[in-house]
Amino acid sequence: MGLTILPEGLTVDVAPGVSVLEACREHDIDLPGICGGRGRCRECRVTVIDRVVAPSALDQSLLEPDDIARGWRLSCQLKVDGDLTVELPPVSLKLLDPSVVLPQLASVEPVIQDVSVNLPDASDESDRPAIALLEDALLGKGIRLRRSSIAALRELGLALSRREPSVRCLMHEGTLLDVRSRSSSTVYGLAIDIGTSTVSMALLDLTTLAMLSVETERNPQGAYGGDFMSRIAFAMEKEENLLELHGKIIQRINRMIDRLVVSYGLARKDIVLATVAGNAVMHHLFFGLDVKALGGFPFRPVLNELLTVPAAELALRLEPATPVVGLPLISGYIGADTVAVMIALDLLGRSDTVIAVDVGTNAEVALVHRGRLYVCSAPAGPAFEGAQMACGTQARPGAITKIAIDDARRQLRIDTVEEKPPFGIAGTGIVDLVAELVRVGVLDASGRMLDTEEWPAWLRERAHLAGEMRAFIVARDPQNRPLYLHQGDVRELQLAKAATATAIHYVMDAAKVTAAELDRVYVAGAFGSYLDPVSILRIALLPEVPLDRVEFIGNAALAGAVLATLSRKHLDNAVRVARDAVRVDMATDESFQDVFVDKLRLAH
Amino acid sequence: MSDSPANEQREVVLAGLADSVWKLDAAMATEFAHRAVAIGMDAYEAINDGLAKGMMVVSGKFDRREYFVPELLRAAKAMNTGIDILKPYLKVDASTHKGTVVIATVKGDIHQIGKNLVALMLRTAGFTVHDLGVNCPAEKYLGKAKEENADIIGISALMTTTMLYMETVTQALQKEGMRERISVMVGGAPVSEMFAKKVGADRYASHAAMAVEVAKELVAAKVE
Repeated sequence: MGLTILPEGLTVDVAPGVSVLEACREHDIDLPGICGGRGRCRECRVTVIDRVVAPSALDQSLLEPDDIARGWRLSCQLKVDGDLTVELPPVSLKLLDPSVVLPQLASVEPVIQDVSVNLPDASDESDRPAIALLEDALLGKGIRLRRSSIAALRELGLALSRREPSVRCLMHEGTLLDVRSRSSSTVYGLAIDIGTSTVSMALLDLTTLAMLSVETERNPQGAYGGDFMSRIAFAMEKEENLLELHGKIIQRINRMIDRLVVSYGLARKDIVLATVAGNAVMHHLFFGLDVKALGGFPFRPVLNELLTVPAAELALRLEPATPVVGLPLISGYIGADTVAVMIALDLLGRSDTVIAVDVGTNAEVALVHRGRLYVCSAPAGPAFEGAQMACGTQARPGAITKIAIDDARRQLRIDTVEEKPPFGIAGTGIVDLVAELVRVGVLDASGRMLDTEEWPAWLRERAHLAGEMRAFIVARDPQNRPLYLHQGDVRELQLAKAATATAIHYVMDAAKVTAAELDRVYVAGAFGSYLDPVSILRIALLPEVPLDRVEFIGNAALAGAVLATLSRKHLDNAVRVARDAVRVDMATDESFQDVFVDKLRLAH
Repeated sequence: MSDSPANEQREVVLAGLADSVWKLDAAMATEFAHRAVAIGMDAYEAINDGLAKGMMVVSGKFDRREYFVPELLRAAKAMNTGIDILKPYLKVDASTHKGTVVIATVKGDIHQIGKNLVALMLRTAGFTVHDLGVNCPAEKYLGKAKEENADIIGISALMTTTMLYMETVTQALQKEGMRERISVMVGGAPVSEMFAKKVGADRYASHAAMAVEVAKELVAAKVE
């Protein structure tokens, strides 16, 4: 049966009984399925264009009657039973495009050694193998040759018979990757950060140390669930599923490489190194390692050390021998992304006291004090991404991303993605709104929405009842339906905030550091960059520090991966960080519940 | 009758006890529990028609999310303060015992707060609760339930990966031939009514206050 998907205009052949979400997964079409098809979110909705399909029971319970009338259906419930045309919801990556802040790198010891050596004169009448001659020549430069790739041996043989007096050798950790003529072109590296929601890739010129481009795409595993736990749950169902998730991310990265090759006119063999950062689950899925043991206590990874694999073993479309380096993990729940953030901030080399917080579905916190590193992580859930909120949404065109209440002018100011008419509230907007509602006295610091009579008079017309819950109307969509935040949404945000703030509390407690002693508070994460520092300080997501000590560092995990691709020292630092960081365990602490409950408060 | 001074005083004390709980005021609960004792009110009545009524109000507010975790803890504290004062005056035969529950978070999962809240609310409501903590294997649930002749096993899971273990527990109960005697209730953020049915549980409760109602219904159904 033909399923036509708009706006792509693609028609795919689908077996009867397969859901639209499953068909999209199979054909690599991005459609977010936050809950993994368990019927707990609305993110996978599509619009049925060509005919009327009876709504499912879940459509009826999760979607508004108006939306059902205009053809909205949950794609996880929509089974293909004949030719069908659906339109996907608009997607924007604008908000997800991370900024990457890199320190100045004047000169570095590179990870890839790029050396020219003279080959012995061909008049040498000995029958010593060419590789032995090269081995001697390299040793003369202080480099020990341990292994050679087959591609390098082929090139070496050719170079000798061409009587080239000298050649250029590309080496990685004692492995000869390639032998090429001295006049050959620039070589490149890739730094890849695999996030749960998005994948970012930086193209690096290894000679000039320049970052040429950063590309971001959705992680196609999003169709199996928004948080990594639902991906593990999918992998638990049957063994093939692990391979399916592994295949999805490899396929997406290959697509990104293909595009770079075309748009920069690269020769694939000139990409000589790739470094990967990501949380433990994304790391394991990328390498095709089993993730089941990461799904529960005690969260055992298959391995946590630096892992180097030839590209061919991962079916990456690079030279077969090109090394793909997975940065080390600290544990099954503190991943290579945190390690990368720590090297980007050079936490090991600092004498001041700083904390770095990655705000997202999984909160990761690193602190350095008196040269010691402390790390902690906490599952915050998808609230910061607007998921599971009544009018919440991902950052698509029309999502409200910023909200300010202007008391003087008596108006609400909102920003939407691409300035499109509002249709939902993104996580950053919800954070702003909660902070503002506490400030103006619609919410108290415990998070309770007050009786309407207690609200400022000019805001009372925004009062709304969502079922039995009190709600505050932010805006109306083009169909004049209210977009609101209700009491339950506030509670969801409080849980996510408390999880993050509790992790921060425990690293500070372990290091015996007070808020006043923090010289700097860094906020990382693709999502983190779009938060308003005033809002997150006000709701006590961060410790109580002056505003000017808060700094947003964009996608620091990618920055860390970039540094580990360019510089030996930074790569070594990643290994040191992973080995030396003190893991702070909060869940088993006796005071955990008291601390968590205290951190639910929306004020310091 | 209702306008007699003694009756009026009784109404005031019961209202005070109820209010103290939903106003989250332990000092007020102390004051009215002492007044109940002073006027010779039946302790069981003071708990059931006073404090427990207040907890029903709390439950409704929690449903609307007007109250949240901290309020639930403070309400339980106020109620328990009152119960502690009234307990010595309970007639022995008028036991407030509602049933026995074995509760824990499943193996592989170390989330505790939701489970702690359910245990606290059940205890406050008069259940005997055996809390086996977190990361609990099926055998441990079964062993304790057998040992204590439990009416209910409560299973909590907070992760989509660990909630599947609930089925391991219900299947183990089935295998041991204990399923008929012991009811199973489940809860936790990723759990749903649909999922509860799928794993063979009797009931699902979406939050701690609801868990008390569900537990009461399960015990009542068993008596019938």
